[in-house]
Amino acid sequence: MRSGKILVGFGAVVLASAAVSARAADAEGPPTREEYNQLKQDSAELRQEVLELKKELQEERAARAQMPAAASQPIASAPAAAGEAKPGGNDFATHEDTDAIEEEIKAIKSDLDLNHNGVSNFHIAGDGEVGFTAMKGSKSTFDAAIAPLILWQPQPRILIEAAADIGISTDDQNNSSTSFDLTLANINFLVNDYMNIGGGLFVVPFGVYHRHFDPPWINKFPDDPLPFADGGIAPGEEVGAFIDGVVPFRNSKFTYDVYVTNGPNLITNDSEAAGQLNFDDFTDLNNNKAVGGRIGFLPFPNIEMGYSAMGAQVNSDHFNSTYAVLQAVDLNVRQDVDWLKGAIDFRTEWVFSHVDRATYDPDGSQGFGPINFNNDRNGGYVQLCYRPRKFDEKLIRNLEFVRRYDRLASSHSAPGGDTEDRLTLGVDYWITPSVVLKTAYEFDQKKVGENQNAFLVQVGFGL
Amino acid sequence: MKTLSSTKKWIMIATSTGLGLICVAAGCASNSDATRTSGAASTQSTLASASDTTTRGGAELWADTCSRCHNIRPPEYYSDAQWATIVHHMRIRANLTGAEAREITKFLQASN
Repeated sequence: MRSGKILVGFGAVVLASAAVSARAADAEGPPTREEYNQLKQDSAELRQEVLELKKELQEERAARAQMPAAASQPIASAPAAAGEAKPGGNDFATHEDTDAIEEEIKAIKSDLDLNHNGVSNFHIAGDGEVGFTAMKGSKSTFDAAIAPLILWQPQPRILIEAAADIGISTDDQNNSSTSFDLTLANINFLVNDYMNIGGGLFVVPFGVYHRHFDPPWINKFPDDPLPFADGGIAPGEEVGAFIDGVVPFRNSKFTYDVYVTNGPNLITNDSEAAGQLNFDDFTDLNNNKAVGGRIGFLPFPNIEMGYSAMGAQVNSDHFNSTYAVLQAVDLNVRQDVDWLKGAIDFRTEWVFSHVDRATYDPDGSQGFGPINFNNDRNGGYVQLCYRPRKFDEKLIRNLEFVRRYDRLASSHSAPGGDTEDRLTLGVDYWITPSVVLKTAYEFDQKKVGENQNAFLVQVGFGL
Repeated sequence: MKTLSSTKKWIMIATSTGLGLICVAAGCASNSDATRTSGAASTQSTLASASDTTTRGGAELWADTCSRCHNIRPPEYYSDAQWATIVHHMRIRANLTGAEAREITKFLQASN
């Protein structure tokens, strides 16, 4: 840097001389005395400045020669290159400087490593709930559950999903139990922009409740609608292979899901449930596989409607050949309504279950037969929710008023057969977008069993 | 309300379904308006940069697609890598096209 100053000084002298020469050449006569004295003074000042710069350069060279060799290595160029002259006048980095730089580089590298995308992505999500139920005819009880969801994307086209429902609850006999159910274990491969194939344990696209609205932070009610609850008539998870995707059509789109699975099992030896389908046992009782699918249509992004069907042979080898056909229709609309200063959410699904007639406990050896009954069942729900999200007051904005009618009907001559209707009214408070406090009261009516009105409270959260 | 008479049940179903159909109709009308509005807006946006258009497309898809089923989580909830995995999961679960998933991912990663 000092060398630069010296060069600038020499340059100034040269320019001054050139200027004088030019002036002399341009002038018609010799310079005046005043001009001569001015030039002489300028020349003396420049000479003095050059001498001072030379002296500084010699001092720096001497100081550099006295420094240890290591300290004057190329590392010295780092701060100089960055244009950072040290306040003390020394341009060369010391060991402390290099150590500090190395530490800084290590810290940056560490941060980069922590945030590096890597080749594979791994994420743990899921949901959970803590609930309280006071039901007529049963002791009031708390319950809790958590459902971690593991997502692993080893490469951009592949996604591996695994999830489990871990819960604790108390049954009608006041017995507490802990459950651990694997609910997802599948691998997906994106074929192209419009198709995905996969296999494993997956949520069956039968209707949309289990596939879309089941998690406690998405379901606006503390419990499931009757056809999709325990003892319902809609499948939840199945083991098998599937293909799903979407077909855009102008501004709308069609969705499709096709699958082959082990299928549900017919319950034949339970006096309380004979004739019902068991969707929680993934063992296939025969070599016939269940085949099913769903076709959806979205005329607009906020409206979806669909039709689902599944067919399967459901009997074991020791029972008469029995087939089941399940069908469902669904409609889901979410709409902001300005004059209501909020959003309306309307969901409905209806499920129709047909199982071939069969004779259960034909020889009476199990103590409840022989019985033969019409095994058609149906049920569904219609729910309407309103959230005044456009109000200024946060307390009101986070409220949601919910109402659901659900029904499950089966032949009264079937074991456990009944017709149950429920009307549920509730108020939710959204603490965050994925944490909700739900309160609801259910008016229940059964034609055979005891009515079970219930008061429910639940905190649902998404991880 | 101790019991629900058959008449009341059908009234409940009818009113709920009726309100739902009104919502459908309101949704269709609103979307028609939105389509017309978006046509005018698209004319105005011709001067916008390609990246702006991409971001807006992702934002609209994010709002429309995700809120159909659940509250939308703000972009800052997750890192870029987490959003990539989550959108992949939701692409399969919600039957999104690859283009929709890419636009949503791009928007979320640019906004978190």
